Amino acid sequence: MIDGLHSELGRVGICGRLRSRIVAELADHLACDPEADVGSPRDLAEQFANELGTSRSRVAAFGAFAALSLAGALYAASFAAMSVVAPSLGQAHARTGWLSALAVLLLLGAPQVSFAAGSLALVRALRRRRSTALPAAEVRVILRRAAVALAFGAAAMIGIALAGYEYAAELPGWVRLLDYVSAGGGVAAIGAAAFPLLAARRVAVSQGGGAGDLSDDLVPGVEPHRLALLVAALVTLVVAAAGIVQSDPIDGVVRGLADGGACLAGYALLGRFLGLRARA
Amino acid sequence: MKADTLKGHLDALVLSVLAAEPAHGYAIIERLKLRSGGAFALPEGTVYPVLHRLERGGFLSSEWTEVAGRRRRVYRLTRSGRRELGLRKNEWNAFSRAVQAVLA
Repeated sequence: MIDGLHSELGRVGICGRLRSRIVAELADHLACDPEADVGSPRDLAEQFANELGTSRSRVAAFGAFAALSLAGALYAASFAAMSVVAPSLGQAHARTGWLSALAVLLLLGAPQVSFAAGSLALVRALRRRRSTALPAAEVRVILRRAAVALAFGAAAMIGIALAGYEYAAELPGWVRLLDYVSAGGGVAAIGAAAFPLLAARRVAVSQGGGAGDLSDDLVPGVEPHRLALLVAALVTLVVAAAGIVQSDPIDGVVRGLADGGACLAGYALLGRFLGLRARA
Repeated sequence: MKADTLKGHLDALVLSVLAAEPAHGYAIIERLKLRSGGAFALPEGTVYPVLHRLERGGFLSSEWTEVAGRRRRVYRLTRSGRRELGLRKNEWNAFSRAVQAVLA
């Protein structure tokens, strides 16, 4: 039993001190009563893995969101500083053409994907906070969302550093320093949040069941396609309204349509991967 | 009683057993059997994932002791575990009163 449990725990990704502890506890149990019915090593290891994997996936989602909140604050500080001291940065002379284009792409696109994926990971983790063991498919979805959020968050921070480098001639020294410090701090926070994510990925959850979809995140029972359309429409309205408030309604409407379209494009491209719509 | 029937209540039962005094896994199971008059005889291994989960949730703490040359993990209820037990008792009392009222 004990040897079997040791190897089954290894099979489901539970190793190191935790495995030693579980094995020692069961060995003590069997020493107290050699005839005790402790169940099969496989079932026991899978029960541990299902509960541990569920709990670690939630920790990974919360950790990712916390790290991204810090990175987001640093990003906002740098972005605001650049916008104030060099409002026409887009037209400014950059060191190289392609790097500056990449910087702008990362600065504007990556934070949106990161925020959406991180929020969805957090929402699902919160909605399932009382579940002791989630289906393997749902755990995978939470971890994918957190991973995508962290990857795009890191890309946004790299965009900040690239902007500082590319537009060095246009930016004062303190803004460039702020860019580099923000990028470094953000990447460090995101890197720290990657550890619980990797720890969660190591555990092989085997619980059956579906991954759910966008309706499980937002409004249970509503068709995910309808929800995606609703979210895109809301984003369009909010961005367009912001443009009207800033006395530039045409620009606001154009931006609103672009952001709403981006929401729908994200849903079409990443919808299945991130568990927003069920697999056909 | 079937293990599936007990599944949703095992956390509260374990917390309740530990409210009296700290114990290791085997002792917890023995007390469960004793206090339930033998009704709660489930595969004994199932209590260990529950103990680990409750500890991760901050409801239990644990430490190693040594008994007859063997390492033994002893669990105790934390303050948060005591609060959780109170909540679960209240939930159970409300639920059982409602079921009793319907069945009577």
